[in-house]
Amino acid sequence: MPAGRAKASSGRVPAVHPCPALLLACGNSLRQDDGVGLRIAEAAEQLFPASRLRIVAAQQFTPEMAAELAGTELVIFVDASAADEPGAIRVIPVAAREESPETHRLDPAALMALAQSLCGHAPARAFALTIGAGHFGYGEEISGPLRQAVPRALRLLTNLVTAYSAKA
Amino acid sequence: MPRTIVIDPVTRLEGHGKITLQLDEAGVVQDATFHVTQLRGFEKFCEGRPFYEMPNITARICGICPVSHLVASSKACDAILAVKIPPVAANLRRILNLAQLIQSHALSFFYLSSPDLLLGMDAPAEERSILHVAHTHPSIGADGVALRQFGQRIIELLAGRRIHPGWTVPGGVNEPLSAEKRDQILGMIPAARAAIQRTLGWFKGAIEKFSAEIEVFANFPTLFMGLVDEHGLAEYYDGSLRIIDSEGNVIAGELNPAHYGEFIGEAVEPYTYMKFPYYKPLGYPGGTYRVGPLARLNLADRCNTPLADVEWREFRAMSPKPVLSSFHYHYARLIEMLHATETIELLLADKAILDKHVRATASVNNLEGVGVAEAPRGTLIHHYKVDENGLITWANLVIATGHNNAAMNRGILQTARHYVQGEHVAEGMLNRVEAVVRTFDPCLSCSTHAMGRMPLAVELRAPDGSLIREVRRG
Repeated sequence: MPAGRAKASSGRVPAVHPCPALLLACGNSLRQDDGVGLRIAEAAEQLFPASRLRIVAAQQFTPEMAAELAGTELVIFVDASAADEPGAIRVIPVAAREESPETHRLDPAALMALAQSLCGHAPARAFALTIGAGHFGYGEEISGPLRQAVPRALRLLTNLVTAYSAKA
Repeated sequence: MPRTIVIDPVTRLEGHGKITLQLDEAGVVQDATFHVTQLRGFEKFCEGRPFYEMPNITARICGICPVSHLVASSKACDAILAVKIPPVAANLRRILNLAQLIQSHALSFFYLSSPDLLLGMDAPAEERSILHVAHTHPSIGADGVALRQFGQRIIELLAGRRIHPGWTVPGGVNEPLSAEKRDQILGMIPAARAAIQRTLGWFKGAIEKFSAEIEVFANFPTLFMGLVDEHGLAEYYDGSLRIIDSEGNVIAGELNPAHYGEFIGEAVEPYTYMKFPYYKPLGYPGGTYRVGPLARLNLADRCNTPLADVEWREFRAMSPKPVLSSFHYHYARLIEMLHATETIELLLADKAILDKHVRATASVNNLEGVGVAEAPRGTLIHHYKVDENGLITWANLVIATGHNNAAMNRGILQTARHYVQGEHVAEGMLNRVEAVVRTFDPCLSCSTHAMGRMPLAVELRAPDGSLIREVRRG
């Protein structure tokens, strides 16, 4: 601890919004397919009551979201993936990893690590649900393959929440 | 042989920039330039839009400080409507603007600069991040994350969204504050205040370690500009502009911000998309001034809240004249966060903050409007002209980062001359050149709107670097 720092600091960020499951979606709704994560978040609001699934949608994952992770045992990160074929869906387990030098945005693994470091807790179960995306030009419409993928992604999301939030 | 060092991109900034250092044959820095290499063009593509869309359009300029643009833009629209907005609406906008200041200052201090301050300017580049700070100094990392969350949570409670909220509108705000939300905000204040005070305690104890950087981080005389209230106290939403010189003399006071064009000129340089505002009576670059936290604490007679005033007096006691080193922007940011937290608490303590009448309505009554507020990085000016149907015919945005442009360039040269010498340039030296830019916390996304007036230069250079031909436009 640096000299002069008061002992009053707990060294922990308090968890916000404790909830059984958390959906963190990111994307830019003005850049076509990049907004698919936000579309899924909007649709999920109609499927789950807030008491069962807390939904946070933002342009990117940022360090202060660590406090959101600290209040749950299940988190699902939803984002577009430029690395996959448009419409292809992946569900990948996420483990904490402390390699992300960027300061404005973090990837899910780095955010998990930050939650553990700063809040003393990261969710026991974490998944990245990604949807392959191919069009990132200006526009609010997502492309055809992604429109077709959204219902499938919602079914997978429902399965994850049903299967794992009960065990949390 | 002369040599050029390019730092590209400059890291831990809002936006993308590039620094060029020109060395002579002896390896001594002869010149330094800060290039802002992105172009946004908002001033141009806003033309033809209805004026009441401007707050939401211009908020898209920046994901870090959209609230600042919302506030300044809404004020410009108030002027077009020619309305005096309800007092509660003005105070709700004040709270929103201060919450924005807190979250933005927290990002600048903790996320972007604390790795340098805690781990050292010579630490390996891969370690200079908030993630590493979270490991090495978890309590400071936790306070940083909590303070940014505090500011964003207030914005979310007031405006419904943390990023690009649309609650501030021409004529006021579009929804009153509920008692429940007020109480939620008030409930968060003690922890936020304690976190700021802890950080101030640490930072003041650590300042001595940075005496070398303080000496050469943009440490030179300039003017300072910012808003003050009718009593000369720090003001972030309204008031008049004050300009002081490096001796602390008020050389221009009670300036009407709406008349900024009479005393602020905007120069352009061929190597950057960012404009160079200057104080007109002293010309360019003699009229170089600084804005933002350092300027505000230098030019205000005090902050006007108890805890911040104690810190302000200590800050000002560092120098009988204005504090000139830009390194102290960091210190000033912490004091401003404390002041903002106290001010939010005071505003929320007034029962009138729950008044339901939060918006004045009117149609176009003026064909021109100027809105000015203090953004986290300094004075922000939105200026619109409309036709009789309220469609934008012309827009000018003078951005906080732009005001500091000339001082940033000069600061880079000062720092580079001190740290960069000879053929071998260590990482820590270059990091210091970047770090002087970070003291200003420039938001390059915000500061690059001009389109069509930007002088572009095409240079043809011989292999030895000599200029053969130059073509300029603009």
